[in-house]
This record gives sequence, structure tokens and C-alpha cells, in this order.
Amino acid sequence: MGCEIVVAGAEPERLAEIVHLFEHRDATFSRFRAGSELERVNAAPEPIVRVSPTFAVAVSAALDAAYTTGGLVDPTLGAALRAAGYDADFSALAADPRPVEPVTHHDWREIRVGRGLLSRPPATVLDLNGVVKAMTVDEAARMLGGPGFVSAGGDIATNGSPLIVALPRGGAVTLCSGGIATSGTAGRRWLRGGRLQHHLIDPRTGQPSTSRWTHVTAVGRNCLGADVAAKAGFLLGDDGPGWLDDRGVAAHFVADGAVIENDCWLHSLEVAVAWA
Amino acid sequence: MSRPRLEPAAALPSRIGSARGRAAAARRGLGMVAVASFGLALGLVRASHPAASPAAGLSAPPSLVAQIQGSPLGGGLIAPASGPPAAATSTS
Repeated sequence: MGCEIVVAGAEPERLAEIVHLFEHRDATFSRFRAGSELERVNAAPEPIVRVSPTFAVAVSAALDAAYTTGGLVDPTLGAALRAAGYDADFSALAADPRPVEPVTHHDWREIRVGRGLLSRPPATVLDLNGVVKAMTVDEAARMLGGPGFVSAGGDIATNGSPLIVALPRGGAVTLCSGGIATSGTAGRRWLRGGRLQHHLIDPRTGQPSTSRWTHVTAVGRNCLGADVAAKAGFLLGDDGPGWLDDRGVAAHFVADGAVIENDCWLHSLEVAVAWA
Repeated sequence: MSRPRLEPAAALPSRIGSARGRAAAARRGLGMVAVASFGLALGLVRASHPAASPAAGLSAPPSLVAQIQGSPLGGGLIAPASGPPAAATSTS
């Protein structure tokens, strides 16, 4: 998945199963492996294609995320990512002088999945990696069978034991249950057409987001929920803190070194102190 | 000079009859082949059409399915940190 995986609290046998799980998910959903199921689906000209049960669940989760965020977390942005230059494993990306070509943006509401079949508008390029990574973290955390946690590139799920997590730009918080994830532009950036690009595409423009946040960290009942919330909070810019407050999501925002915590974040910490 | 001998009149109907029998058998054969071909083609079309696949439900791992049930947002508990961090959340 192009990121560091950390597993704590797993017996050797469980650890091997978790490693296999991540490898399998990467082989299925990689945008850069010619034989992956995602690439097969994206290359297929047919309007309806057969997909594996795991693939169908990932698409379903991605559509759920799109619905919940009003389309901010959109699974149809694969073409926009390619156009921005993210067309190879991040470690292999190099500055490219060619300008970013505009691409057609498809409507995620036209995607249907069920009974092992997927239909989508012609030429739709799916990108499910954000959702898949978080889902895999959650699944791996459930496999631990005891206290511990799983982290993939800093997207974390804990399994029944409090975990102290360092936050971007300093500070830490105890994750008592659920998941925590951070979205931002500090990690994956590259040059295309002389302009800095990043992987957080705003579906409203089809281009890398111009949000003022550098990092948005959110908490959720699992890593998937936290990741979806963090992405939405990031893309919404100044509206992010309030939007997440309205949905009961605790979130922590960083912009130019300044840290903003939304009301849910502050309230959660106050309640925890009161209970202690 | 001898004239060509004509076949007995009785032999003609039997040759025509056997020819008719062969023609009828051929027609039956062709009909059966046509019906079989149609059935085979129909079966192949149905089997290869996506909508005609068995209506099997999702059989993804239950732990995977459980994650996407319910609203993805909300939940999770945090508290102030009481020691050094054991993990770090960051952009990936």
C-alpha cells in the first residue's frame, strides 16, 4: 500500500495472517499493478463487470462514504489523480513538465454494485485506496484477538486497549476506542506542469485541493470512519471544523503551524478528564 | 435387335417410397439438429449474460462487511495523553 504498517499485540501466527491480508488487499486494489482487480475493472470497456466479494464490499463502503460526505470523498477520482501525475507508485514519481490535462468527472451516484456485479459510467476510473487502507486496518485490528493496535501510514485502529497517539505538529492524545486518521498534503507531493500537486483531489474542481489545512486528524468508531471524516474535514477548508462538529466527530486541524481543535474534540477531552 | 427392358412397374413406387422415407428422415434429423442447436445457443447466451448469473449474495469476510454497516462517521473515544506516545498519526 506504499506505506509503513505497524502491528502491536499480535501473536506470530496472527501477525503472518495480517501481513497476508495487507498483501492481498494491495494486490487487489493497487492502481499500479497491471494484474490487480482494480486495474482490470478500470480497463474493462463493458458497462457491467464481475467483481469479487471483497471488491464489491470496498465499492459499497466507498459509495457509503461518498453519500455520507455529500460526495466529498469520491471513489471516481482515479482519472483526476492520473492527470495530476500520480500514475505510478509514489516512490517512483518524478517532476513532470507536462501540464495537467482536464479530465471528465463521473458521478459516483451512477455506480451500482451487488450480486457480484459492478456497473459504472463508461471510462470511470475508480480509486478505492483510501477506503481500502482504512478498512484493512480495521479488519487487521479485529484479527489481533487481544489488546493491541494496527497502523497503516498513520491511520490507526485500536483493539480494546487505550493507545497514546502522537499528533501532527506536536501533542498527543489517548485513543480509548475506535480509530484515528490524518489527511494532509505534507506526505505525498510532486511537481507536474511546474505546479505542486498532491493526492487529495477536490471533486468539486477535479484538481488537488487548495484547502488551507496541512493536516486534519479525526476520530471515528473505526479507522474507516476516521479516515472519511479527516478527508471531508480537509476538503471543506474553513467549514471543516463545524461540519464535523455537526456530525459528532472530534477533529484536530493544523494550518501554517496553528492548531485548531473543533468543539467535539475539546468536549471529548473535557468529559474524559471529568470521568478520570 | 432387342429393345431395352423396362423395369417392372411395381418397382417404381417402392423406389419413390424409399426416397420419400429418406427425405422424411432427413427432415426429422434436420429438425432435431435445429432444435438442439437452438437450445444450446439459448443456454450459452443465458449462461454468459451477466444478469443471468446465480443470485448469490455477497460472501465477503463477515469482519469486512461489519465495518461498513451503519454510519461511518462519529464514535471513537479520546482522552488526554498520560504518557509518551506509542504510535503516531500522520498523512500517508
